[in-house]
Amino acid sequence: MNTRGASLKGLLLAALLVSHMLLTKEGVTSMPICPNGSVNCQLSLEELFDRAVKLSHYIHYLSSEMFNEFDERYAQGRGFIAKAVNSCHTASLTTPEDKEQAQQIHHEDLLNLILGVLRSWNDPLIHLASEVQRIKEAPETILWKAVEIEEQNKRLLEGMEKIVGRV
Amino acid sequence: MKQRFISSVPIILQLALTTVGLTGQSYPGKPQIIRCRSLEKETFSCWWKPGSDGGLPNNYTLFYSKDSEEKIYECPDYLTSGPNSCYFDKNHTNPWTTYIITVMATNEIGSNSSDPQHVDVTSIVQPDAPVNLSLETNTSANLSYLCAKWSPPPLAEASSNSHVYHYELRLKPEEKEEWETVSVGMQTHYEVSSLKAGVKYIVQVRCMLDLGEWSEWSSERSIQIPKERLPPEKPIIIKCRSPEKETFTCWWKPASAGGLLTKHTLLYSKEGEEKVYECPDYKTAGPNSCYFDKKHTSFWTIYNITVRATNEMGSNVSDPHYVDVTYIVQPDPPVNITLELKKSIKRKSYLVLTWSPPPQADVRSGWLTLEYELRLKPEEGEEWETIFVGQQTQYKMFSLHPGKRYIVQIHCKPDHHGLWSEWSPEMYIEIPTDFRVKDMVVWIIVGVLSSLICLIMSWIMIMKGYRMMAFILPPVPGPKIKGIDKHLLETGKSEELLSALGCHGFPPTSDCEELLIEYLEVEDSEDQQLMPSHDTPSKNAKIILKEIDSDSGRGSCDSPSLLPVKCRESRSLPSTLQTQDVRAKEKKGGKGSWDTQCAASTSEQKTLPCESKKSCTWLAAQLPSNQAAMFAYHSTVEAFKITLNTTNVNTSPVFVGNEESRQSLYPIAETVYDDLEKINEMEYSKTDQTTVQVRQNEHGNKSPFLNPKLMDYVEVHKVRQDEEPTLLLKHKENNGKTKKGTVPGTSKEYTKVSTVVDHHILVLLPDQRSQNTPVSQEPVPETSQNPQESQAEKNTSYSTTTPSDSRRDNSGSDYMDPSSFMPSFK
Repeated sequence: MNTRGASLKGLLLAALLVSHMLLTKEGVTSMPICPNGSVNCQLSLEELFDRAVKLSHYIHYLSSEMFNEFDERYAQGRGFIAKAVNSCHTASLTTPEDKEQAQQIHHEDLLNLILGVLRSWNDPLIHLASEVQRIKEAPETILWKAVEIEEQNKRLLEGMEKIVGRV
Repeated sequence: MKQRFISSVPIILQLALTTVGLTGQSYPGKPQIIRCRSLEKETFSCWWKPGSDGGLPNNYTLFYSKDSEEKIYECPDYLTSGPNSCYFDKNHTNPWTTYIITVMATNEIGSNSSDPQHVDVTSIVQPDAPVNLSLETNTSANLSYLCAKWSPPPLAEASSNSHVYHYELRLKPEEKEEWETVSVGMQTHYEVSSLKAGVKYIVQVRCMLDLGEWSEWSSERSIQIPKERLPPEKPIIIKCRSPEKETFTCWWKPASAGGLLTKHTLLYSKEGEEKVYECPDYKTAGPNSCYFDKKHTSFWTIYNITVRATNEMGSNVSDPHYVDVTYIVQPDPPVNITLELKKSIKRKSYLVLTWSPPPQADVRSGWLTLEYELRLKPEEGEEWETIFVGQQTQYKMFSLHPGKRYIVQIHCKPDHHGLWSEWSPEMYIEIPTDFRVKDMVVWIIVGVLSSLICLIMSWIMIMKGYRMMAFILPPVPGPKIKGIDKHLLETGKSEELLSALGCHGFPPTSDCEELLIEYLEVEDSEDQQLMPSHDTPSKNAKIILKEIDSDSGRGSCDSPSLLPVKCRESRSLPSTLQTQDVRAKEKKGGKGSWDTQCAASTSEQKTLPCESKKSCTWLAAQLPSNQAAMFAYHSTVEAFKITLNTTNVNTSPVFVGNEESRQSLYPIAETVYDDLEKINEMEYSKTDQTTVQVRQNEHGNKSPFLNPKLMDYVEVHKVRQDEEPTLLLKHKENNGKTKKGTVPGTSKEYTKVSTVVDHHILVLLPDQRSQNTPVSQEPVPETSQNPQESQAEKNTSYSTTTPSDSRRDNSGSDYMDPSSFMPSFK
């Protein structure tokens, strides 16, 4: 994992610039400290975290909008959310319960937890994106959002891995 | 006596009556029978009303008779039915008879009796109202109904046969006016079912015998119908909020319980868990709420919250509400809002607004990050201006109007998905007006200065108005012709004028003729092409013509000095020359006079070289030096080029010069010059040249400007090769040069003079006629740019064709228009 991580870092550095451009394209505001194309540029950790936060908010926004739309159109009060909430596959990951625990937990553990959540969502999102494409009756907005979420999740994962490498 | 006794009797009677009246006693008033009524058709009673008293106790007696019998009976019972009544019991009552009843009132003085009353028992039957009315409500199976019971009216005598009464019941809700009447029948109880729950009803009963009248309504009885008993409706959860992301509260809307007592309970479960908990605290946050304190609040888990309403009849549960604490954060408004007036370096004052985050939010440790937004408006204004401030807790305001009052409010929101807080209480800002005064001073100064300036300007205008006008609107200049001095014209000294015009002496002398001769043009192309150019002389051509010689329009061939034969010969030139000539001519706008030159070339030449024409033009152009200095220059340049071109026939490398001479006339001149050198060098090698020595003396003189005077043109009488050429010099300065001789039959040729050597040798530029080279022309551009273009053409033509192409146009375009010198940008 370490060797792969090392090679990943080089890849991520390049990917960081790409994702930076993608982020700005997506409307996620970020301050371009590094001019495009410069390779030796290093973003501050604060900036990386800031971006990760904004990205995760964006993902949450997309997914809640997508869920609401789906619920309205197809679920019609059949209580899908109950099933969804209770059968979440990442529920087994132990997150800090409240503020005290969150402040006491070691930051490495917290970051690894985040990575765990993101990685475990990677495959289901890919599956979702591909399946949703095949549904012909689905409206364009749901399709687009599903694909977008999958993509952004990957970006976020990359960003978090970058942060983990730096911390 | 008798009379006195008789008359005193009435007096005595009157006295007796008056004594009686004085004491107030008289016989009783007439009684009146009010009513006779029978309760059950077996007995009846009558009541009367006594008349006036008469002052003395009265006795009342009731007498009655039956039908038409005579016998009068007295009332059997005065007591039973009360005072002033008579009760006829069963024995005395006969339903089939009609009674005639009178009542008499008697006192000591007299008596009085009422009117007789005919009474038929059956018609006066009216029972009493029923009694003992009782009401009950029963509720069974969601229906409540009323049960009413009563007793028939009591009778004085307990009669053996129970009378059958018909009953009627009426009821109404307490608040309403209208009665609902129900016919009951003969039973003494009744049930009413269509009653509204929760309403108070009033009930009455009355009865009737078979015949007669309905009794009076019984006294009222009222009863309250109980409300419906239902299980409660579904409660609704309104919202859940967390002020600082550590605790949260949920509120719900209670269900209507149908009058019964309803109890609400809140139940929740966390995601992934099955266990259901109940709300830990119902009180802290008020009624219909549940407060989750820190211990009970978990993050990154979704709560499933429901509310249950319970009453006697049952319970009902609300829809589940899913809550994640992170997304329901709505902070309190910011606090400690302060204002400060500061002055910046430039002495401009501005306001700084500072505030603190709400106390409960843990911003310091970063658990919660808040963003702020403030809004402000002038006090009288309508619309708020909203400004997003971000995460900072201060704001500088610059752009406020002094002297106005503003209202400002701030609110905050967590940086992630959350809700805006309430607006903070209004804060008033008063902007000081200290810098108003400065503005005023500045404006006053500006006003004074500008008015001073205006005064000065107007003064100047008045004083020098005329000059200003002249400056602004300059007078239209008259036409200025170079070389022509208006004053000369005005003064009328014709000699000077004419000399200025270049005509030596006026009227024209033989010299002028010679001048004219020199201006002969060589036509080297056909009529056709030439004609149009002749027909459309350009303005410039006209101008120049005007300057030089009014006669020289068509003149060349018409001049006497020219041999017409030659002209024709010139015209009969090979057609190769034509097209390019035309081109050149058209470019120049048809300077007809200059385009054509009568061939000074000899008929000896097989091919009439353009050079000869060119030489004509050169000379022609050269002569009027004063006014055509410019033209001469240019034409000289052109001439150089032309010479270059002409000499280029021999050697191709010479063409290079033309290529280079693109940029301007000056370089052209230079290159021409250079080429000239080369040519001359070349010429050296050729021994079959004319015997005219060609020397290159101009090497040293590399000035871009060609001194036209050096390059005067001379008329050369070309002689046969074996002969020495003779020169007829026609310098401008030198009039009447000696002629060395003329060679008859030879055409006059013009050749460029390069130098004069030893005062008796003219160094001429070689003329290529003798070489019998094919006439090659190059297109001669008119303008500096045209040279460039034609240079390009030349270039191509160099590579592909003979230089003849280039030269053709040269001959036609030796004359340069002043307009042609103007660069015409395409």
